[in-house]
Amino acid sequence: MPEPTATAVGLARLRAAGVQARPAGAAYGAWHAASGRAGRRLVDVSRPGTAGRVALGWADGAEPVGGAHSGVERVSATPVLGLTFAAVLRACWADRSEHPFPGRLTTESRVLAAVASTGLMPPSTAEAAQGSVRHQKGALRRLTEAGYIEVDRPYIRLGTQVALWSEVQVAALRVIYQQLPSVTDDWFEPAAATAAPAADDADWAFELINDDDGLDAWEGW
Amino acid sequence: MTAGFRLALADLSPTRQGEVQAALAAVETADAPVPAAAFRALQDPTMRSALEGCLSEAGRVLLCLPGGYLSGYDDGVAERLARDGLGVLPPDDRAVLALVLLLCVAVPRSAGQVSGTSWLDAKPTSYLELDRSQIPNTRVRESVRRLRHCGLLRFGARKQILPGPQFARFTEATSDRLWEDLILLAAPSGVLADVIRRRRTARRNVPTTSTPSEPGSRTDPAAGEPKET
Repeated sequence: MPEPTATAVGLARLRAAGVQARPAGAAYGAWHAASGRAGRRLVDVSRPGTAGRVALGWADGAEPVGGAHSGVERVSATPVLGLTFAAVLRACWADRSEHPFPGRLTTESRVLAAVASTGLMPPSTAEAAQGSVRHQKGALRRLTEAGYIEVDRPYIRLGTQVALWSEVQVAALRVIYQQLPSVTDDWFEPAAATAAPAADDADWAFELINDDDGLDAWEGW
Repeated sequence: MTAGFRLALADLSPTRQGEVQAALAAVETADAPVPAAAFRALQDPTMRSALEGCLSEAGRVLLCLPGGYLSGYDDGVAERLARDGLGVLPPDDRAVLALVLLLCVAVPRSAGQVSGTSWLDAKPTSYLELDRSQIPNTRVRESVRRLRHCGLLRFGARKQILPGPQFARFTEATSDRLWEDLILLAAPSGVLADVIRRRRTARRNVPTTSTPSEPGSRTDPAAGEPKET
């Protein structure tokens, strides 16, 4: 078995890490060429004013497909995960004529309020409400781990996975832009939302450790 | 097609390139083997060769499995990534995963309770069983959560714990090495463990040969390690 080339190792490392520093000089050209030969594309996922970063995207028109007739089996995201991400996307995507990435910052409280505004909530008891907030916060953690959002408490921004979306994928989302969960213009950001994390955040994190199962089996979905 | 000959993506017509790229996206992202019938590039030997070429450019290989195809890391590349610390599980997760594999696969297989040879032919375990280990319960749950999120574990019926879909992406060599690791863990004083240790020592002592410099090779300065910009 021949030794893998340096570019093969480089692209494999990029795939495994998700994002890497943009290689310098001739190495960038080698990665760019290799990604083309690999049927992929090298995507600049840098934010303005930060060091250059790249990720491995899909060739235009060759994005992964799913669905019952595609022949490709995928584990579906839970509704709470999808709804929470939709709320983040809408809050961060200010101008739908542009690509959503990098987008603008939003806050956790705004996202949770947007999800709540859909009315897709469990029975409105205090316990149930607390449970749903817990699961939405769990969803934020899952989305962070998957690279779809980045959290810097109390702020949230879109993650590098969004930067990989092709124009075809973005165009499909533009059609439903107005239907993405959002709060009204007169929604008021609570002052506590920008304060330091409260002590009870540690409590909900502990509960999540023991109750993460609920994210996949939340009653009512 | 002669052994070793492989078509490049650019050698194909645009239509066939699209077919190959569609199959590429499928085998790279699916949670179960992709049936050959779903993509022309998996059925046609020419296009499948080009698909293998694409994967190879990114350190990946095409795996032919019961039920279809998936991609996985080239063994040499996987070893290199692990040496660099990429994809290496933290100790707690490694311990919990090893425990699950012992309970779900190794023990049932040796007792004749599962008949297949895949890691996914497994008998489920539960938090109750895992809690009997020396790992604190909260850390078990945290590890199971992380391992589920990266596809190494999954829930079956009634939240029973099983090996996850990522186990289908192991090459034969990786799978064999993992099985040997389980034997060394479960029966370190046994004859089989001794054979495994001798074989591994012999492999480590075999001198490696160097390859000449070529474009894109390790010694090609144009393909050097990435630097911060």
